[in-house]
Amino acid sequence: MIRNIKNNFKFVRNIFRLKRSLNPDPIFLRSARGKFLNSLAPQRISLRHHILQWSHVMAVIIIALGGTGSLAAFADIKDVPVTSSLYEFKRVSEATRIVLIPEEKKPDAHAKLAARRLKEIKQAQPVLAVAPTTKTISALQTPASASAETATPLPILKKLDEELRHEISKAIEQRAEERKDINENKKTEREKVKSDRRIRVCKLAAEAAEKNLIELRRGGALEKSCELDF
Amino acid sequence: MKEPTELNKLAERLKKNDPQAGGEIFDHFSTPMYRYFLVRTSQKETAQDLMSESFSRMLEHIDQFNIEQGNFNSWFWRIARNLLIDTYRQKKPVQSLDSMQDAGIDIVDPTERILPHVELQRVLKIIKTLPDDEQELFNLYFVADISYADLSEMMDKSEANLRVLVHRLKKKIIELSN
Repeated sequence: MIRNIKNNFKFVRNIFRLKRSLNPDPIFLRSARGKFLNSLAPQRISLRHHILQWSHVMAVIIIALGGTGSLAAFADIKDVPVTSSLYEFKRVSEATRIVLIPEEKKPDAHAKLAARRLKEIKQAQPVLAVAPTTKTISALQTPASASAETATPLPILKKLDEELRHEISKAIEQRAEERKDINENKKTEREKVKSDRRIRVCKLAAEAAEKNLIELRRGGALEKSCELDF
Repeated sequence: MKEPTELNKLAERLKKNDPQAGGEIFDHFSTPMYRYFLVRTSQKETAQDLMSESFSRMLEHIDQFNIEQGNFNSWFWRIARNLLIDTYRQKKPVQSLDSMQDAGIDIVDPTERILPHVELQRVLKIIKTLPDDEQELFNLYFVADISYADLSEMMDKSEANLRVLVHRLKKKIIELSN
């Protein structure tokens, strides 16, 4: 009995000492732990977490773009007056349209925009002359000139007037360029016709010269001169 | 020592990429797993490699772990045991010790390399003389501290059966030691 207890105690002690002797080196354990946690981070965090993060960013961008685009389109279609808070959106839409439309339609577009500016000036003049409220003025002003122009609506009208002139000059420039192109085309056409005519005359002259030469050989008189008339 | 339910919760957190859970799982398993590999391979470097590889495999397959099919403890130990079996399969045939000694190579007993005490070396040598299934049971129960419940799941044996087997094994080792 006592021997059994003694043997059991010895066995337990040996197992305890065996386990303690077989324990890993703490330095290795620390390094392995670090590696394990590092391998956990990039593999599992990047795939799920980053996709989720980017999807949020993309959603925000899409919503922002969609919202701005819708507001701009709405303001443009409604042709909001200069006093409206959506006026800047209208201008963005107009600028985008001018950039996107084909070259041959640009003069008309500039002319339409000039007409719009004129209409805006007409709309804004009585309103601003009678009651230039802060709200109305701030809606019209650009941030850079806001402090200088809060007292009077005149600079705003001046600005609109400048923009109107700009649109008109743009339309005129485009028209002039178009005409120039058309004139150049006509000139090219005329030169082509003239060149054809020269070729034809040369051919006739050559034929006449040959005919005269034959006649001379036969002893006859010259029928036509060989002059080249251009 | 962590309870099986606690380990299952840690595994679920690890699935959701919780580094703290990863750290706790590492602290719980690393030492017994290293001891298990060291006794089986008798080489510190191999045991270290196998331990690191076990954690990598566990992380690779953590999404496949399902609580309804068993607890995390036995699932992870199964990965470790399979890894050891794969390593043994891939190992090239080694030269016999006699032929190496004949060739003038100084042979040191592997148990002497890993254990400093003569008495412990003797115990380990006795363990190495046991049949393979008994060696495995000794390593898993006495060296790696795996409970009867988890061993039952891992070895497809009832807990009562395992208790009898462990008792017999203990008796056998004591007899061989005297």
